[in-house]
Order: sequence, then structure tokens, then C-alpha cells
Amino acid sequence: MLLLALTAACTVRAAPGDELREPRQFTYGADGVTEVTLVAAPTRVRVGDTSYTSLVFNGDYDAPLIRTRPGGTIRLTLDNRMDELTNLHFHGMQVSPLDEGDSIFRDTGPHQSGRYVLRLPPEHSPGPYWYHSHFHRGAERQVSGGLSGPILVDGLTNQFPELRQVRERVLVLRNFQKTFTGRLASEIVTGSPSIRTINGQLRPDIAIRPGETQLWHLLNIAANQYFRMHLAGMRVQVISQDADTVVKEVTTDEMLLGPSARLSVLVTGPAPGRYPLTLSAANTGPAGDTYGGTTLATLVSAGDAVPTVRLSSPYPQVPDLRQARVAAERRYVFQDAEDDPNTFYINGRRFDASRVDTTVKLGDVEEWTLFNPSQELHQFHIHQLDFQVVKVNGKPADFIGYRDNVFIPATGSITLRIPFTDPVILGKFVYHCHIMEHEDGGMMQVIQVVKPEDYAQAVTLEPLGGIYGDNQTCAYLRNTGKDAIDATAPAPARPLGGAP
Amino acid sequence: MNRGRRVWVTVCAACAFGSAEASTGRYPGFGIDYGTAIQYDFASLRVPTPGGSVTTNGYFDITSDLHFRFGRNDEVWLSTEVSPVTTTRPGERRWLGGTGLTVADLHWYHQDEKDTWRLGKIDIPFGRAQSAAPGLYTGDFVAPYALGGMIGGTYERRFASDTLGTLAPSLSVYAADTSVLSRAYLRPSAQARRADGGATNTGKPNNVAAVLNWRAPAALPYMEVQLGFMANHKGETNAAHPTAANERLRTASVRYLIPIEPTTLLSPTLASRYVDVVPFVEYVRISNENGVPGYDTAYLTTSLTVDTGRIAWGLTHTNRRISLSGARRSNDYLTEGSVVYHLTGLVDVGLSGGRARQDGQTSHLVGVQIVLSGAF
Repeated sequence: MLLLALTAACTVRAAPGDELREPRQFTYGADGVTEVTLVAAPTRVRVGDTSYTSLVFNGDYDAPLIRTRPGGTIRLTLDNRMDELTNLHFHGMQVSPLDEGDSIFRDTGPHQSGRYVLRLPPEHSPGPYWYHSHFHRGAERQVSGGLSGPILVDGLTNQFPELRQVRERVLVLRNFQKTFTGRLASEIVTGSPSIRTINGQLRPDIAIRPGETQLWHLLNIAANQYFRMHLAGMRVQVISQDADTVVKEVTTDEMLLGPSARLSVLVTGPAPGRYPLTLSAANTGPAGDTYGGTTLATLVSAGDAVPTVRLSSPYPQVPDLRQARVAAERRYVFQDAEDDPNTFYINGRRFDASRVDTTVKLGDVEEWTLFNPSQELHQFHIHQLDFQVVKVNGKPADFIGYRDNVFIPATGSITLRIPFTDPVILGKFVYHCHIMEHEDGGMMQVIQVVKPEDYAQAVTLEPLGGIYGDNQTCAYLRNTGKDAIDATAPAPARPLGGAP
Repeated sequence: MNRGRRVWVTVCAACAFGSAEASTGRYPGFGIDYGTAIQYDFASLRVPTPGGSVTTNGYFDITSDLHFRFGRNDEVWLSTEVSPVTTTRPGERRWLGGTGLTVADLHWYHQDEKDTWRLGKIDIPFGRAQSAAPGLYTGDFVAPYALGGMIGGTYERRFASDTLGTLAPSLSVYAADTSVLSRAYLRPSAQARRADGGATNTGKPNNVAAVLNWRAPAALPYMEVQLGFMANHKGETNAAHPTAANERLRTASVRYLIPIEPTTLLSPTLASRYVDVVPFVEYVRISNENGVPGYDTAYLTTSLTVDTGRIAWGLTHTNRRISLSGARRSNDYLTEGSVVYHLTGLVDVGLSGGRARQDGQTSHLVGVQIVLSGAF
């Protein structure tokens, strides 16, 4: 506790206009292992330019960056020093949900420790990911308070070697609801006045030289808010969305990040001057939320001009799933409850962790159509997987790459093709709306991915929680997926889950 | 300690209960959601007297909804209203007069994965015009069938299928409130009595409403349909109410959301350029309205809402056809136009104006409303 207090006290705080600082980080050694300890505790911290007592990791509202690489391992201890339950989800990562892996069905009790071991496949996609509390009915408040942080999987510069010389920045976006009490709100109210920060800082300066190319990883790790950002009318080049590298050139002057989304972009230094990075006001629909706009940061271009780096490597290609054979088509309706503002359904049901709603065979590609008859946006996310958006409102969508979350239009639909093909995902996990108010309100369901020969039995067990029980290997005897991996993965086969 | 005082003491004790962090670590602990609507209305009624006098009434109508959260699935809901509880006299020009506080709802609310129930003083989920039609005054106009403040319970179960969408049948049993919660506070008033008569005023839960809500079938994913039947027993007869009859109500309504598709994409939605059009039609037929024998009515509400970004425009017309045995048919109506501006995430401002004809008298209405919402 003393160490935490010292850490908090010694942390240098930036005022508006200070240079954007790099997040503190846990990184990996030669063996590829990143050892991490996250201490979750109520702490007096600076949020932007204001002090609040909130729930944060390691004594800082600006949570540490976890750095890893494809084929690497994250060994993480979650030290819960709070008076409430919590847990962790590793958003977007294609890792096992079994045993000590990325399972949201395990909670860490008050003043107890939890253990996570994540083994990234060698072909794991590089880019920005994030970790956060996924404790049902408390996730919105805990994430809003600070229990979320960035992950960076190195390797993007292996795909684009010409980017090795550019400066890489991690920009962590979040919002914090203001209160009169000086404490984290007990109930987060979407759209309420809040403090929007980048890396915990209020309106920092981001230095660049004219012509200089920088690689920015933007991560929306806020609980509910959509970030609609503009960089003084400049266009940026998109490298990846949700840590999935795009398959062709994409540029934009508007950076849209829904809750949980990430975007990696190349920014080129303009002529000397100051250029605001603005967050525009946003409205999520007639029944949704209204967020005010603000200036998030200022890009400060100064110094001698330097040559601009342009992409010359070919874009990595992934299968276009529009050509894939669809094994099953499913329909999900994301609905607001009519008479209860805190309740949200998928197909008329609230979340029940003890029930499995969907069973899928490993190896299948499925097409899911998500309808939103509500007059507000929802934000779909599925754990352990990426997917391809093939239609928006029934009209074909351009293919620029995979992603792990996407908006569902208010009174509209979106159609996805989801490859349940990587054996590392065998197990039980969830899909849900990533507006955490909605997720906590019940807009979440459980899915189990099983070997084809176990499908019939797994469906039978859906009402009892499915074939994996609580996602521990012993709950389903030896259904670790190892057989499937041995049959499909390149040697040596990847071990799963919790083996140290 | 009388019953009313016990309720308030309980609520106050609950307010002091503690913070959100329960010692078990199970969140949420205790908390409160609130919604407050502050409305100022001005009504002008031309009285059919030789002098043609005009009655005016300017008043605030403040409704507050408090949801006390006790756990994952259980809440206590309390809704109150501060508004005039006495009527104006013909020709009276009243300003902020007759105001009192009433308890509209006070019930236990339980929500499971597939079902919901409420127990206590509740609104009966029969008819949708009160919530689905835009405007400030339609709710009062259709109040004869949109029963609120009944003592009883409601159970709803939700079913879903890929083709049919969500089907949610519900069953309510209830009776009119004659408890201390039926009186107005902050102003001398009388508690409701059985002798007041009227349908549902039976003193026992022998009135019933069965309603089916159907939403989002595959073929018409943005459609909402409600079908309902309600049977209310007659109240007591006495010198003041010499006759009574059982009341029967049937309802059918359809609401459909028609988005302007290009505006539903992410960027235009966030930029407040989202547009949709929402038609709503509801028909309700009542036999022996409020237990009056032979007093049959039929309500037809049609409305259109156009949502344009942060502004919602609405137009609602409700026609009430009255068929009284031995008398000529007559029609009452209410027509109102409205606009709501979503000022911030927590504040809405609404403006509504309309014209109504009831009991042979025509009135003009105009009101402005500010809605605040939030949580503790």
C-alpha cells in the first residue's frame, strides 16, 4: 500500500499544453514473456486536471501499457484490493478462453488475486488491443473509473518494414464522468459531463516535424462513448482497424471509434503551426445519448522538414469471407426494453452466465445478421475472434479487412461473416453490445465453440451452461482442443490456456 | 405510525443505506436513478355561458421517477407527480393553484432473464398511446384506458424465435387504489373510497388485463404490435352511483420505425443527421367506460413522429367516439403538435400545443417541458 501511495504521489502530472507522454509499460524479454502485475485499488488520482478517488490500476488513471508480440506470452497477476469483485478481458486477442486464459466467467473476489496466462499464436495479428474489467453489472462503472488499459502487440513493422523508422505513439482515449463528490460516480450516466483525456492528460501537445510520418495507435477504452475525431481537416492513412491490418489503401479525414474500437493511422506532419485534434459532438440516436465536443489535443508541427515515409510494402491479405461457404445463418435482435431504461436484450433475453445461447462447430464460417430495432446505436463485439462485415442495412459493404467490433445502425442491420476456424478459440465466451451500459443491462449472450463431433451433446447442455462448464479444462474432461490443434496447427502445436 | 408515514420512513432509510460498494463485492449495491419532468401548461377554455367567459389555468406539472436498485434483478420504483389536484371553476383564472403531490407508482420490480414482474402500485401495461404518441397532452386524454396507480401485480414472459421475433405476453391483476397512497399530499384531500364507485374499484384483485406485445419479426423487423384485452369489474352502487356495469376493453396498435437508410450509418448518426419516420396507430374499444352502463367509447389515436438528429417533431390526433344508450353519438378529440430538443445527454426540452374538444367544450393548450435525468 505504501508503494502504491508513493507511486501515486511521485507520478508527475501534466497540465493542458504539456507534451503527450508515453504510457508506462510492461514489456517482454528475449523469451517473449511479459510479466505483469495489475493492482486494482481505490486511489486518489488526477483525471486530466482534477483529483478524484477512483478505481484504477497501479495507482494511476493512465493504466500501464502491456507490450507483447505474436507467439509471446502474457503472465498477469490481478491483485484486487477493492471491496468489490472484478475480472479481466483481453479485448480482441485471439487467445484461449480456457483455464487461466481469457475467460470472463472467472471473477476475482475482493482482496484476492487472480491469475491470467495468455499465449499468443505465432500468427496473432499485431496492433493495439486492450484489457478491461468485464465484471457483469459492474463493468461500466469499473472501466469508466479506470480499470482498463492498452495492449500493444508488436509486429506491424514486420508487415511494413518501411515504418521501422517512424515514431510510434499510443493514444489512449477515455472519458470520466464528473461528480460533485470527488469520487467515481456510483452509477455512470451516459452523456453526463465528463473529462476526456488522452493518456490521462487533458489537451496535451503532440509534437511532429513538417513532413514527418508518425504511426498513431488510437484506442477507445472508454465505457460508452463514441469518439468522432478530426485532425484540422487533414487526412490520415489507416493501417489497421481493431488491430486487423487493412488489405488496401484507406485514407480518411474523420476518425470514428466506437466503444472498444482501435485505429492505427499514419499521420504526416503539416506545415509549421498548431492543429487541433477535435472530438466532435456526437448523438447516438433519438433514444440514445448526446455527448459534447471538445479539443482532445493539439498537433504542434515545428522544426526542420523531414522526408515523408510512404508505404511501399504490399498489404497483407486475408481471406475474403464473401467467398467462403456459410455453414449456418443466424439472426440476432439487439433491443432496448420498452419500459426500463436500464434493461437491454438480445433476442428478448437478458444475459445469463449460466446458460449457453449459441453453439458453433469449430471450422465453420457463419453468417450473422444483427438487427437493431432500437432508436439508438448498439456496438457489437465478439470475444476471441475477428469477423468481416459483408452488408450494412442489407447492402454490400466494401472489404478493407477484419475487425472485432462494429456499430449496428439505429433501426438498421449489419451482416457479418465470422470464421470459427482457429482452434485456439475452443471454449466458452461471449458476444455483446460494447456500450457497457447496455452490456451491464443484459445485452450479452454466451457462445460455445466445440469440436464437430461434440456438437449434439453441447447443444443438449446449453441450458446447463454448455459443455465447458466454467471454462476449466477439467469441466469438460480433456476437451482442451489439443487434438484439433494438433491436426491443424503448424508444428510445434500451440499449448493452450494455463500451462505455465 | 400510519401507512403513508411508514412508506416515507422506509424510503428515507433506504436513501441512507450506503454506497455502491457492497461488502460482498457484488455490484451494484444500493443506488438511485431519477427522471424529473418540469412542465408548465397553460389551458384556455371557452365556457358556453351567455357571457362566453374564459377559464385559464397555468401550472407546473413535475413528475419524478426514482428507481432504488438493490441488486442485479430487484428494484423499487417510486413515481410522484406535483400538479393541480383540484379542478378550475368555470370562468376562473388560476395561476399555480390547487397543487398537490400524488404517488403515481410505488412497486417492487423484479427482472429475470426471460420474465419480469411488478408488485405494488403499478401502471397497467395496456395501451401504448401514453408513451408512444408524441406530445404532452395525449397521455391525459387516453387516461381512461391507460390505467395507472392500480394496486396489484403484472407478470410478463418473453419468447423469441428467428422468424417471429419477440413475443411478450403479460397478465395483470389489480384493483383501484383506495389506500393512503390514493390521496394527495401537500394539500388537504380525501383518500379514495370504495363508495366512489367506478370500474376496478372493487377492493380485491379481480380485474385483469392480458396483453401481447410483439416486436421485430423477421419479415418486418422494425414493427411493434400490441394486442390486449382488459376486464374490469364494476364498483359499488349507491345513491351517488345508482347503476354500474362491468367494463370491457380491447386494444390493437401498430408502431413502425421507418429509417431514412443513408442517415443511419455511423458518421451521419453521430453528426446528428439521423432521420426516421415513426407512424403509430392505436384503436381501443371500451364497453361501459369506467363502469357506466351503456357508455361505450372508441379511441383512435394516430400519430407521426419525425426524428431529425437531436430534434423530434410530432403530430398526434386522438378521436374519442362516444355511444351512450338512448343518446346521439358524439365525438371528442385532441390534436397536438410537438417538438422535443435533446439539449444535452441529460436534458430534453419539449414544446407542445394543441386543441381539444371534450364534453362540448373546446380548449386550447400549450405547454413547455424540461426533462432531467440522471443517477446517484
